[in-house]
Amino acid sequence: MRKNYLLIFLLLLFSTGVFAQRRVITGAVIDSASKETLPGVTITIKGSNSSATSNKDGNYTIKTANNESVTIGAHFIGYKYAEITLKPGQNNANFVLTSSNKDLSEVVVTGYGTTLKSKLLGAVSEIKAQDVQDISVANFGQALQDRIAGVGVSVASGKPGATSTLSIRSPTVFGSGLGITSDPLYVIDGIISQKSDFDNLDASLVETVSFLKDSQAAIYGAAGDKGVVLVTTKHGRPGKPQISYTGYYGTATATEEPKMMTGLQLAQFLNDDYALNNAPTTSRFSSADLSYIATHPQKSVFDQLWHPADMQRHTLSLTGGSDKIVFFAGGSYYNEGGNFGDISVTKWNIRSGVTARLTDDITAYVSVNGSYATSYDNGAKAESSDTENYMILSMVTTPGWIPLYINGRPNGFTTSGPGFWNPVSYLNSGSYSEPASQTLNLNSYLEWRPHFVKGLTAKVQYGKTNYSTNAKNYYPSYSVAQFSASGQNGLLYGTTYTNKTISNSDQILESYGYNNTYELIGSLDYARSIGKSNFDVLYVTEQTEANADQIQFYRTGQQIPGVDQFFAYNSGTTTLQTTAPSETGKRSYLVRANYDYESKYLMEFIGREDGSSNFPPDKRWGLFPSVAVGWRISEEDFFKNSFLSKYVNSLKVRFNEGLVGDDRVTPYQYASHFTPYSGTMLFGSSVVNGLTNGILPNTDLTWEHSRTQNLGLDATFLNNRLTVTIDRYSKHVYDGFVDISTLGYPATLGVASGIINYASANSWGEDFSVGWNDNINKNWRYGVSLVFGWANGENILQYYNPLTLGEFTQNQLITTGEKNSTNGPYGLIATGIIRTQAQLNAILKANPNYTIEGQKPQLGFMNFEDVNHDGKINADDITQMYKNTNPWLSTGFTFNVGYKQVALSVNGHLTLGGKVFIGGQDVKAPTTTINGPEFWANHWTPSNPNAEYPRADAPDAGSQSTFWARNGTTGYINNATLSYTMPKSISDRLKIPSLRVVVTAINPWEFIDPYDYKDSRTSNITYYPTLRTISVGLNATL
Amino acid sequence: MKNLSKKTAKLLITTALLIGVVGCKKNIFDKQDLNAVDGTIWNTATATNLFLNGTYDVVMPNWPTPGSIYNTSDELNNTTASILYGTLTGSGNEVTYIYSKSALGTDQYFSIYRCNLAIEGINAGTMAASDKATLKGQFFFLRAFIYFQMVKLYGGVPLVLTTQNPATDNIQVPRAKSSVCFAQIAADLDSAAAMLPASWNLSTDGGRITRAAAMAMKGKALLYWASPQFNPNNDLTRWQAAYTANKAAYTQAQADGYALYPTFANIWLDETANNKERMIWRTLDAVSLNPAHGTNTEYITRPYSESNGGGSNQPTWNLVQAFPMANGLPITNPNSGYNPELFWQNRDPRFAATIAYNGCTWNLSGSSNRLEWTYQGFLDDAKSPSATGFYCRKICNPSITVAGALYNTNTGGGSGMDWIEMRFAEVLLNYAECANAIGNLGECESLVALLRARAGIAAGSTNYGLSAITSQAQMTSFLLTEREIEFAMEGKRTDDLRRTRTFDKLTGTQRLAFRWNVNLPYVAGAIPTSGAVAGRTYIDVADASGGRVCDTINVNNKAEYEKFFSTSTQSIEPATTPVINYPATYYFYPLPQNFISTSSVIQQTVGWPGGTFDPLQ
Repeated sequence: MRKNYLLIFLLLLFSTGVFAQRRVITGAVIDSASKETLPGVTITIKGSNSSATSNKDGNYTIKTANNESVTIGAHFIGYKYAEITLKPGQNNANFVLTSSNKDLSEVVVTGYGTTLKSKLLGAVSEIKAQDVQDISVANFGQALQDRIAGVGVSVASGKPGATSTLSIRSPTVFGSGLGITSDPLYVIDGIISQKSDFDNLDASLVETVSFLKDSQAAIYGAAGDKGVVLVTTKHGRPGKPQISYTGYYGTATATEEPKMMTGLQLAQFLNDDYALNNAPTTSRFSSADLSYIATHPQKSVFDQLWHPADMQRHTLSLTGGSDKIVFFAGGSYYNEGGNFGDISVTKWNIRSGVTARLTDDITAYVSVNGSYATSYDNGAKAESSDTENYMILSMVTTPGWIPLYINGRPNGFTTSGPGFWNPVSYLNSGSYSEPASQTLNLNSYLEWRPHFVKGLTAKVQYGKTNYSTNAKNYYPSYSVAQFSASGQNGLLYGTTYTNKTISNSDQILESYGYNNTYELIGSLDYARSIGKSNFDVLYVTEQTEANADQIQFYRTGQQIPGVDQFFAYNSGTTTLQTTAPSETGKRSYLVRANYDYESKYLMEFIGREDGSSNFPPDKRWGLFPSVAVGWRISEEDFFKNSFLSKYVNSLKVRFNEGLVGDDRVTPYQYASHFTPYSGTMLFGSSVVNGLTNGILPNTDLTWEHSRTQNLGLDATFLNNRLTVTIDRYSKHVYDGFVDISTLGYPATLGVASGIINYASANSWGEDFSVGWNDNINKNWRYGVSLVFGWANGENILQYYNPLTLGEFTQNQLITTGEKNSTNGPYGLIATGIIRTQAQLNAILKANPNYTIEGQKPQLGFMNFEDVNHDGKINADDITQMYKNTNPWLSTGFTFNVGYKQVALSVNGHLTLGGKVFIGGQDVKAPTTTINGPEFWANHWTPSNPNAEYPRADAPDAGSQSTFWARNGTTGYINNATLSYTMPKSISDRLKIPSLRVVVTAINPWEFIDPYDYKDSRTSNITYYPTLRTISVGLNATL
Repeated sequence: MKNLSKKTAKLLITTALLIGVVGCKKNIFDKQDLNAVDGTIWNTATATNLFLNGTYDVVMPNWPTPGSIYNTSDELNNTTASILYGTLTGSGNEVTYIYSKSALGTDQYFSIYRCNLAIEGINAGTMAASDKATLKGQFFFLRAFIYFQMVKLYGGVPLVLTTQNPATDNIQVPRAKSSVCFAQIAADLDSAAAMLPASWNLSTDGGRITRAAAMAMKGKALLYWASPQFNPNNDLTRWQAAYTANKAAYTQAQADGYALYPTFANIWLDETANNKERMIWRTLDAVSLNPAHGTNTEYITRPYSESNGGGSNQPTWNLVQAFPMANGLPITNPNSGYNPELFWQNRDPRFAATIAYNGCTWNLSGSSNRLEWTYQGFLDDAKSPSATGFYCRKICNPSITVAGALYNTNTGGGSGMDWIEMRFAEVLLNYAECANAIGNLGECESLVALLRARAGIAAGSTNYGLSAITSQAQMTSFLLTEREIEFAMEGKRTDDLRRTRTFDKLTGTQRLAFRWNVNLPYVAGAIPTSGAVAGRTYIDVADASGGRVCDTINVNNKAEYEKFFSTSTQSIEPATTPVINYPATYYFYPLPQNFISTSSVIQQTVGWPGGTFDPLQ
């Protein structure tokens, strides 16, 4: 290479004489790693406005009148900036750019701008969307599970499109309702957005996601109390137009079907109970009944209805441009079906943007984005749309002897769900609910960097979003066949039947809503370096306003069966159910000042003032300051000269402290007002509406505050192969929002009071993220990263009605913490099943009046520790079961390995130690209508005295107790991706698009499961089970 | 230098522009709650009326739940065990009418607050004086009504007459003496009567309170204050006050057009202007679905086969026996002509209008010549037979179809029968009772005679059966029974037993059912799966020609009746609690602990754990 340079240099020396007047500089740009040429690189001449872009072969030409020494720079996103100085007469400069990935010079999005990672002063984690692009999930958040230290992702259930919830450092909330939320604030491309905007994103259209976990969030002081999620979507890149398509197709089914008792096991279980209680013969299964059940086994309702479902996802993007204008346009489509009935979720996404350099000083950006999300569900009317709990309940717990069909007719048996019949009848009734939402978003800015004031940037950004929602619900009445009873206890079915009509609300319901919001941001930024000092001052003012409404109406009394339209219903029944108009406004001013000396000693100050229309005029404004300092030890000479520098590549400590706030409560709680009364009254033949008075106004309502401190350490070791980030934080929330409507005042006051600023709490913890990346040789590369942490908290001030203080109920005990202890759960201490007469005699000998929940102990009962020594086991014996049930390690891990063009990436979770509990429906003894998990089959009977589980009627067996505790060690893989990329050399030679094939498995394997009858991630057996999705994807880029 | 100032100028312009653009809208915080209005509603009659409508909805009673704490007595089969068998403890939350949790409808003080807020708001508002009076009068009535409902259950309760502000007022309000509460109730009702109109337009405002209704309510309240529950020592001045109030109410009501409805059986069915007996009622409607305003009364009152469900709203044998004969004499009177076997014959016409018995004609669901069967094992109702042997026909609307009996909040149906909280007959009987109490026996008798004449009892030689009554005590007892039959199954019996301190006298007695057993060779029910037994007649099963034997039985033919049935009575009390036990302490129910614990000054009632409040003061 050096020889070549020399040669070119000599050649150029000759040519200068010819072109003295106009100097033309040429050269090529190549990638340091692949040695391939790089098109689209911006070449600039320092101190002038000239710029050029490298062509498709990576060559550039730039002209200048400057015949003196010139410095040429090369900018390219994702690469380190490079400069070459040419002496007079030198007219060729070849750039070898090195990728900035995993380099400390990379930038991190931190809110109103970016920061060099090396200068970062807060607990900010960033994830590249590319890392999760192959994980096809309905809600973007779900793909981020177990990847970011201190960020928890929970998913309501396995149902397609079920809500996923992100929480940053387990935020403290003191209640729910009246608008109190624990959600972080979502900001997409600088514009404050709704959670649904985040959920609807497709990873392929996103560049990075940053999480502001500490007082760095003070930059969003307004609502940064619970952390901030910053999303940067993909923008255009200069270069020849590039089109990229990715398609995934997969199939999903339950990771594990809850294991339930068979019909025979349940019948036997019930009979065992009847025998112990001398129940009349008419309530027992006869031996003929039992043999009938045994000889007529049937698949569980779950097995009969459940089937694998399809998932597909397609994304398409187009990008390209010149140094003057770049564009990006992308779209995505996601569709996932349900595993029974007719369930689906569909999402469309479009993002497009153009960045134009209008003049050398002015850049404009315009982006138009849209999304459409809809789902369809013909499950039961009243159930939770997130967990499908009624349908699943009936599918899982219907006793195994009940046939779904008899002689081809759906058997109209009732199950335990409220007003719920044979799930097949319901699914066939025609009922459905179909909500949809559309978003249209404009995001634009104009940026001015006046050449006459070096370092100044002025920017105006405007974002406008229109949300609209619509939903249609159709619940027609339907008919079931109720079959005659048969069997000794009438629990089996005969063949004669009568038809019964199930009203099922006989309703059609539609709702429409909109929400218009805009955000206008103006900012001035001035950054300069003077000597060894660098400073950067940013001033921002912004305001946002929103107005929204929603209207919902329905009709009942269907007159044309089978037609799911309003006209098919009795028009006289049209009822306007809700209208919910609202408007809000907020304005903020903020200043951020950064200073560093030699990039070694770092300082930052943030001051933000926010006004929110949620609060009364004199309580409206909140001031949120924050300071941060940092020291890059590795930049010190003494460090560089020490032996440590051989192993430690970079080392930085940082500390920040600041105040953040939250205004997210139901607005206007400070004002006296009257709202529509939800009921109606009849006078004579007239239906009349009403008004109702609102809550007792709180004229003192203001910002919730939290003061946070974060001490952090960022270090890289061993040639940057090992990266370690440790954060230790503490947080003090005060003025916490408490809804005192039900606990505040004497009942005689006669009016509910709303939210007050009262509660306070401390929380503290540590977050760790450790990564190791290395190349073994030219072909092999691998990497491991772990994220884990600890969190703890204590309540300082909690609101209780003064009159009930000192009279704690068990519930209050459970929420009132002791300092410095994680509150272990409360419950009874189980001492085991009373298995033998000798054991029973011993108990009664010690205390002849001993009772368990009021009953005399009997064989097969569960016995408990008599904590208060009163000879009675009851709620008074509830105590703290364990000091704490926290695992000693709970970590998310990601493992990558690559060989040439093949790459495998695995993300999972491992919990070691701790306790988990079996609860909910599972611990309730099965009944004639509700089947129980398989473990109940192993219950105590006189002939099975060593059973693991007590008899059916054992008192308190279903209460929370140590009996239901299990070792919390859990391990599972969230997702695994195996991909093969065709070498560029081949695709180039064959003149075909570059191809990448990928196989992705979501939830492929739970390798340690504390439960023997269900997947640990299926929180309740009556919820939609966790799904395993295997998909194949193809990515083509041209 | 020139260069620098040019730069500065440009910078300044930029900054100004930025701040100008962003800050141009000054009123960004000038936002309103678009789904609400402020206190200006008090300046408009129609707006205030909306607030009043919502208040009516929560205050005006609906059909009582048969057998609830507030509707348990010897007249019907369903009961709340803790009341009827003496197992109230007073240490928990048992009688929760006053409060179960802090919300409208479950904390009566939320309704009180609404009334106080409205009265204060209307006073301060700017609407016309006449509008103010009409609206305020209704709020005064509703406030008095809630206080009366609470006081009759618990004795004196905290009396809150203004809206309170926790920041400036002492919001710990102790219980007021019962006397103070009754005085306030009377005063509010006086205010209401002075402001309210004589009548309302039935189609648009039927069910709103009139001045006579307010006066009648005052008469009722003072009657309670004078009654033994509150007046065990029989302070006659209270009776005098009650007499004055009830007489005034009776007179005013007559002057304003109220009257006894001529046909007793149709009082609950006729909801037109012809029915002048209804004084306070809640309008209900099975047809209007916007939204549905019906009730399940029909469903729970009809037999199983006529409602697809059946309920438990069934009259006891005790109630059946209380009806006199058509000549006005009680069945215990040897001259009454009572036939214990065919006991339904020759009874007070109110009997046939109230009670459905075995073999009576009851044309439910629009049928004709339909016979009602309540004998043991009757096939049609075998899934849910009447526990007492009787049904209540008074509050059933025979034209409703079988499928239409069930009420659904979405699809409507069920009974649209209005709930009548107070009939003119009650004003009459309240007046009569007070007259008797102050010694005007004759005045009392003449009033009762009006009621009996309306019932269809012949005056005869016994003056409607009244001539045998010669003492005040006899009349007191007679009036209690007269109320029992006149208001049978109307939710009044519990209050009357408590008011007159008669409930505890039932201790040791039982509620009875009447049993008709089918005599062999006749058999009720289905043919056994093993096949018909030779020589037996399955009277509920249609024969080859499609007819059933039971449809041919004429119960009024004694011989035929005896051929099919033999009868007996039987207690319907459960084996574990075989007799009624109603302690005298129950005349003032304990306040729920949840209510007491919201306050530092509210006392429990004497007779209950920790109780120090004397409700007799």
